Amino acid sequence: MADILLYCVIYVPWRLMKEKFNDEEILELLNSNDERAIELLFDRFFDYLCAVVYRVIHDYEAARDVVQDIFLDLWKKRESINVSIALRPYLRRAAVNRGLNYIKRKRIIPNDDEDAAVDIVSQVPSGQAYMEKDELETRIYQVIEGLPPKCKLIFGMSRFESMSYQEIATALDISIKTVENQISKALKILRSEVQLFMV
Amino acid sequence: MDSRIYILTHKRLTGQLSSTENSELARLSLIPEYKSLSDEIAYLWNISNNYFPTKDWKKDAAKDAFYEKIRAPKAVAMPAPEPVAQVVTHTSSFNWKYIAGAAAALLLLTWGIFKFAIGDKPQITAQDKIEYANLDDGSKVWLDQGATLTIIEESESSRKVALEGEAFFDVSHDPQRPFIIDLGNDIYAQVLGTSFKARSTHEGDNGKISVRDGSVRLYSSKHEGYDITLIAGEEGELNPELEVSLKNYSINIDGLMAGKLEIVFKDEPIEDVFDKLGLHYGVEFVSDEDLSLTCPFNRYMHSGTSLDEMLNAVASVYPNITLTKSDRSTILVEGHCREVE
Repeated sequence: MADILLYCVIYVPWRLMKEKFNDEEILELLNSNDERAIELLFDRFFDYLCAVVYRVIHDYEAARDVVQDIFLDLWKKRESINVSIALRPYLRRAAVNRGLNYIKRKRIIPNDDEDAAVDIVSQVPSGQAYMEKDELETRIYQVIEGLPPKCKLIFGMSRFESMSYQEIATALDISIKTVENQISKALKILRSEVQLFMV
Repeated sequence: MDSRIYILTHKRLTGQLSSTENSELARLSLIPEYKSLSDEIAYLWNISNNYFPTKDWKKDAAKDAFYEKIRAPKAVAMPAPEPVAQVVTHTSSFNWKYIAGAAAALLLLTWGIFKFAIGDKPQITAQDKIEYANLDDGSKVWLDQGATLTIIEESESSRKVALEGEAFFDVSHDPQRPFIIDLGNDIYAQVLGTSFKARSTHEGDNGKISVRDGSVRLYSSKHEGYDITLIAGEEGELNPELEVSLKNYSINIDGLMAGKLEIVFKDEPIEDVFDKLGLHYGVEFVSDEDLSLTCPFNRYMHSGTSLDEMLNAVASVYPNITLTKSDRSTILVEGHCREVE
């Protein structure tokens, strides 16, 4: 009975309240050693940050580890941390930087090519409704997932992180010409694989 | 040649096109086949931005692992408390935690109910000068004189605002949460991360978007098909009668841009320059007679440029125009245009 009462009085309002905390309040909790800050940060940003990192490094487990490290760092620096912008872009930036560091550290710039690509052709759905925008989007996402690894990495850095050719070349220690070739290749694959949808 | 189109189009979409390449792309686009290929690439590029891997990231497991990591060292380091002290501490901790929690919950619930009952939404209005607003998601907005921005929704899945008047937006990139602007009359602009100028449809205006970076979708929620996607350098209008127009947009931004990263005056009549400087610096340029100062003025300035620097710049080009500060908010304009030889 006491448990039910506690659940109603504490847990339910807490679940409701969680949605209401703004960035500033979460940071205040963090600054004051309150573990609820981490709970809130996990709930609010973990999935989002994992997806952000995944788009850069394309490794499920590594993406989770990278994001966990961000939270650990936040907790270690909890008393001194000072964020002057909104939390979401701040954490996103941190996640992307760590993702890029991970690539550099592990030297995981993949060697292409075609063999590593997923068989995207076989994933073409059947039926005639190719013109639907949702289906086109789904198809594009499948094609992105199935791009050859190096191509996918470079395409993702340009598309999702707005990195210039020079920035990508520097980050991966490759030539600008290689970046150009890979971007061009990604776009060509994308176009050829969604032709059916572009009726 | 196809490969070249891919690269040039990609560079255009990502703002990396040099002026030579721009001319090359324009030249190639005269060939219908290449124009169509370039448009197709741009379309796919824009759609691909919505890609966001949806997987089960096992958040709860990650959370548990996190707590294990932060608690494990403490457990080793802490000496075991004596039994009596343990009971006292436990009881005290229990009461404090739950009473404080309940109090906080009650306070927050009361606040929530209060907010809900009032139903107010944050609103920013630019009264007599350009107003700058930094939104919670990191987006920036410069509201033109008389414009009002209402924050309608700021959630995990969406960011929605309503605009009356004109404003310049620099939206923070977040593919998971599209940024939607209600321009009135069921006309909306949807963006993912870009900078652009928007004008609402209120007071007889058309919904208008001028894109500086990235791309913006301008559409009507009531009439399917009235939907245009604008990319950098384009300007589109969608009026309440649902007539669409599209043209190239010159990046020489007008006074609304003042206060942002830069302001570019290009062959701007000097009297218009004064109006815009007045808006930007909160001063008024006055003259005792109708001077009709239509001579052109060219200048690039950063947001940090001072009023004095701008006045000196005008004086250096047009020494026959005298600008005198009569008080803190008024500048007396005298003389005539005659450019320095």
